[in-house]
Amino acid sequence: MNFIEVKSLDYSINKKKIFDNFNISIKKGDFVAIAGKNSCGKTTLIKLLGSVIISENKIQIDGTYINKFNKELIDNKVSIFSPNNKYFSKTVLDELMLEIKDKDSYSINKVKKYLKEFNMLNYLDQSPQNLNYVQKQKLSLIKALLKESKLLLLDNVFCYFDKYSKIEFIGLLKKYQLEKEFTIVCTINNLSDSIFCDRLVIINDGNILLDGSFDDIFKYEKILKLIGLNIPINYELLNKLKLYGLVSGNSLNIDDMVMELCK
Amino acid sequence: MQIILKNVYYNKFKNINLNINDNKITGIIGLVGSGKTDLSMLLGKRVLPTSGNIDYIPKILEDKIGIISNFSYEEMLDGSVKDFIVKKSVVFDYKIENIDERVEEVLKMVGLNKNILDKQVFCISQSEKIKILLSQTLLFNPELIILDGVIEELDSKSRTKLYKLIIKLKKFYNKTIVITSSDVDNIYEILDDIVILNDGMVIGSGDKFEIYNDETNNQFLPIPLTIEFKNKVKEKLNVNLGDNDSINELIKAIYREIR
Repeated sequence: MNFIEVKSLDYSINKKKIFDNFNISIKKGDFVAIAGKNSCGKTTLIKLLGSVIISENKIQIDGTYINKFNKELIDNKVSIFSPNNKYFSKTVLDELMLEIKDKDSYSINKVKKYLKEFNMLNYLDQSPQNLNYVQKQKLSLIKALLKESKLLLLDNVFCYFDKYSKIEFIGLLKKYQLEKEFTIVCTINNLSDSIFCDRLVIINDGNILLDGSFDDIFKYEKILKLIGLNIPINYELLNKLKLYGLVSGNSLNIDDMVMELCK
Repeated sequence: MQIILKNVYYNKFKNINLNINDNKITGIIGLVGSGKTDLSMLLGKRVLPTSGNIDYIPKILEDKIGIISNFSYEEMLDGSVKDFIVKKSVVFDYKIENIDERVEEVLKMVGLNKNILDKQVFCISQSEKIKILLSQTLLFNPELIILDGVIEELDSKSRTKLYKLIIKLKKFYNKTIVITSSDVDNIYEILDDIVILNDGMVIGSGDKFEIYNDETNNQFLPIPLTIEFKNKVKEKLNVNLGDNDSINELIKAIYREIR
């Protein structure tokens, strides 16, 4: 049984067709990246999956169809991350306590345990507005953990990270994915962010163009370039060196490439 | 327009000394939380330093500085494109003569067609949105344009288009341009100068080739892939590949020198 099942989805904004008979199924516990050029419908898909926009009985999440009667049921299972999440609470602690229904000393300890693990215990009494981008995303992740969401939807979150914080954040994400069996769907602009995911889906013109592991998909460099996506820079370097017959190996490591040039 | 920062203190910044050169594209590189946005707000006169001086040569007012940040997209909620472009001049009661002609001129600068003016702002594509934001800024004829966290949300194709536009603004309209990014690989090819921030400190600034050719710097700074490759070739093969902007130029140099 798939966790997410989208069948023959049609959706248009202002008479412009975004999705035309769109189908996708995602297994429980998968980490899926969705890529495509700007304004191809990535964010719309996230909104549809998170029941921000309601599509009548076309999308099934954990066995429940999204429609206007099931909205609350779906809301409890889903957390949406976006680059400009807004927090209106006075302190970080208040913001996190919003997610807890039975407030007792045990739950405060739980919140503190998470904050400690995320290296954010010092910010307990500070306003969420003072946090930097990485800390804001971590706060969203803790909120999702406390809410015990089943599905995390990350809308273009990775593009504002730097390399180090990206690895740190994805490490945390993967750790809890194994522990809590999250299903994660993220949208990306930069294909180099997809190397952390199990599966990469490229959307173009309202339909799936390519679907598979990132290694397979990066072979279609020309098609990707045509729709406005560049493969990661070290893949590009390797491919071009191969094209000129300068190296023959498959290693993406720069040291290995230079060693081969030496020969 | 040249900007000189002398002993500037603000938030995380302690005693910053920095030069932004006239008619150059300067990249501000740093990790998340290193102070990129604070520095661009300081340069754009949107905030004042707690102490120290920022000198502009020649002296200008703050409306001659255009800032586009990732929050600017959120302003594009409703109304037509034309209303959006002239909005700021109406709100701040800033008189611009022959505004219709001026709007057309600005659209020409960013390479957009006139018939976009009647469209609604929420239904245009991301790459058009950034061009609209640029034309809104260009209406005031700014000397300095600051792009803070704008390129991250663009795909590769729109990014290349934006880079061409930025180079055009620098070459033909003599603008000074500042761009921020957390990843040096993203913007290295179009930069002239580079400023590297680390936790509120400037750990390197100046011409990009000079910075990376000085080998004592290399251990501390984020290095673009092309430079790293070039340095390793030099170390192992003792071949100098020269200064390259992009992968294509690098490959050409390798082909020329090694074959």
